[in-house]
Amino acid sequence: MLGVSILLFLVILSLFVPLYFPQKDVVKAWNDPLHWIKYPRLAAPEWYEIFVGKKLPRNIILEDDRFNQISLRMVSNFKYVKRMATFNYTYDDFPSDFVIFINSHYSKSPPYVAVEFIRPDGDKVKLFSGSLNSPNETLYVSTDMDILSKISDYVAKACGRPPREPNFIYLFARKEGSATLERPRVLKSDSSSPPRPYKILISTLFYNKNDTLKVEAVIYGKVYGLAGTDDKRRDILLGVLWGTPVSLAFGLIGAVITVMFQAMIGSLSAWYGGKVDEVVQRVTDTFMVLPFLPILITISFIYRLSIWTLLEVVVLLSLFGSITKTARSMALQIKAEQYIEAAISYGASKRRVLIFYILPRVLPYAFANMVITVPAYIFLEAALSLLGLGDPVLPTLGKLLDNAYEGGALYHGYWWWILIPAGVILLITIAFVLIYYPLDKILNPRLRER
Amino acid sequence: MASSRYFIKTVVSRLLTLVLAVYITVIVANAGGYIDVIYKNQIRFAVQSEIARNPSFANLPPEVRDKFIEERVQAIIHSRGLDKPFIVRTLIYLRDALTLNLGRALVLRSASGSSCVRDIILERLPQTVLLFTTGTIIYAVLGIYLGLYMARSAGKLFDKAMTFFAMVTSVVPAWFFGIFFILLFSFYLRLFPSGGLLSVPPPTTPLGYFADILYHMALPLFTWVFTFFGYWAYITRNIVIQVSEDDHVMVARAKGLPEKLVLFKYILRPSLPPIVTNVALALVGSWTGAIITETVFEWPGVGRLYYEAIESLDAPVVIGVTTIYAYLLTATILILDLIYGILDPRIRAGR
Repeated sequence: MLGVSILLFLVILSLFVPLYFPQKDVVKAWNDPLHWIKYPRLAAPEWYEIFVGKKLPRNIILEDDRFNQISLRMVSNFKYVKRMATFNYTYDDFPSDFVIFINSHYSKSPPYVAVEFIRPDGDKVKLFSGSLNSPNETLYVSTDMDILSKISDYVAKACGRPPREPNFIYLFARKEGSATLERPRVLKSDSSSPPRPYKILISTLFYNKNDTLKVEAVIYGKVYGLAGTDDKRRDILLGVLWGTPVSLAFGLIGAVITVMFQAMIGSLSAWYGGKVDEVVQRVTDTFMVLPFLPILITISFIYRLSIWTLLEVVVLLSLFGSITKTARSMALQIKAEQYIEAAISYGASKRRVLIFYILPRVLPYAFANMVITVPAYIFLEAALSLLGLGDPVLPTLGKLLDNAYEGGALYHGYWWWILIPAGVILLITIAFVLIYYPLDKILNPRLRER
Repeated sequence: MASSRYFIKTVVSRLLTLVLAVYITVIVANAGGYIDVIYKNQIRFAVQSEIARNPSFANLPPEVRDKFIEERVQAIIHSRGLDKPFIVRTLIYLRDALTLNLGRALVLRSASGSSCVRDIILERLPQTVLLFTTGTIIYAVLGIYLGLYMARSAGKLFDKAMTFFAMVTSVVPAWFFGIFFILLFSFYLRLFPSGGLLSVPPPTTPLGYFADILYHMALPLFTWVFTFFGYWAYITRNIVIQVSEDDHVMVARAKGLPEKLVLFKYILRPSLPPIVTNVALALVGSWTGAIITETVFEWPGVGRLYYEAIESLDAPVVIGVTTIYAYLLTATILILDLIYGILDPRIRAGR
């Protein structure tokens, strides 16, 4: 019961994807780097801060309408606009990144823009000033060398000496003597009384009064959502929600087809006997000697299969196997029973006996095997993904694991990136084992505890 | 007479299976002829670029030059035997594989620079045997021991918990646990290296070298044993319980035989054949290593070689590893078939 509930829970959860992520084409969005540009990179899940005991920074996005116009001056055709956005920063850790996106429409010459960062203690740091080079300009505060040297100059003025390494986090650091340079601490916007926010001041000089400018500032956090983000800033929760039904479908379809086919062929082989039996036995032996995984890897390496084509190949390669053998020996035993003899004696056809008298006895065994085979197929998909042979576009649980493995999550300790998809796979496995556990007892009555 | 016919039939059908399996591998490893196309194109490209670089051909008229290129390409294709039809060549490959004439690798080389498939495989074999065969022996012994204990305490909490654990681990592959253990033991606890065979640079003393390998081996070995011992305990338990419900055991108990005698002579002895079969098959399977577990632990064994061969489309290596494996597996199954055929008349009759 618990197993079924876990599976139902996971499936119902995935039904909420359209609510959680209103984008129409999730797969396209998942693979589009532009879509994730305003998400933090490699952010841990938000609940991680319970274990750290610190308030970790969330993403702060200051959209264009947060920049309020505070002054406007028109001289002949020129326009001089000052806009300012304010935000509170009350976290115990520094942001992971800081980017300002500028987008302008101009008729002839690009506007002149100055960006100033004003701290709660009133200090002003000029981040940028100059004419824009193109309609879309992005200020990468954490990596732009000019901006970083301006920040270092500010630190040198405020603390007496420049920091050893230029870093944008000094924008958010307290300045209590030079000791703070080694271990900077966050200057929270509520630490002064009355609380004063951080401010970003954008001054623009347009050369035509119809020119416009749009600004968006993103102060990237270190935690995001329920499952964190990966190195391409993608929301892992979306990948998990989207990948779970895909992986489940892969496992279910694969398990149902192969197990049913094997069980039926096994029973058929035992019931008809003779030549049929001989051929089925030899084919099954051949399939069992074939190196399944290497052949599968070779095929998917050469043809770069999508997950559904891969499923077809997997099914083809597992049409015969150990279940054929077990089903055959079960059917051999059943064949010798008296009720079969009775059925034959009153004139039941061979096919009727097989379908109505033998298969129903083999089916429970097949069903139990199906249940335990589903997670095996899910792991198979994950294994192929880990070798880089997964579906090229679709996020599946295996692909998420592969991304994490390739991204070095194991060696840098990005635990959420590995453990969340792996945990979901494990949860699915446990759910199926919980369903299988009582079945095993029913199918092997002799093994019931004495 | 009936038994000798049974033996001949067993041997013939097993050998037929082997030939079929190797032949399918030959076709798949050559991608059904697709690899030939790649090689022919590579040869043509090599000849073309060689001629384009050579100034003495620069003044020739294009038709003459094309003709010359075509001749050269055909000569190389002929010298490599690529001009024969694909089906014919698969049969040649099959004959070579079955006679264990493994030939030369197309791309891969051994560390000593040899392109002999046998050298390449033999170079990787010790690492795999060291890790996986050791692991298999450990989990088999541990599993059988625990299985006997579970069978005796069937229905108790330990038995139930172990059964559940066994069912989960029988589905979860070793590499999956490997990922968890690397994160836990290597990254957080910093007890073991995350992968590889030796430190860089390797220790110079023989003792240090040996210790270094053991140190690197610990985590994958633990993972391998952890993944399989539960399942082994479970199947051993089932076999033993099944035998101990048999009538002959009840009779033995009814006669008042001492429990120890009943356990060893009436329960364990009939349980041994299926257990021995499992151990034998697991040992044979262990030497091909595990492709993904070796990838996760960066262990340079046969499994990794298998993958490298597939990745570089090196069909002879893929065929070589598969053939040796198929031979060993078939031989083991045959030996077991024959031994049980001799020991247990029921099996002969059952066929």
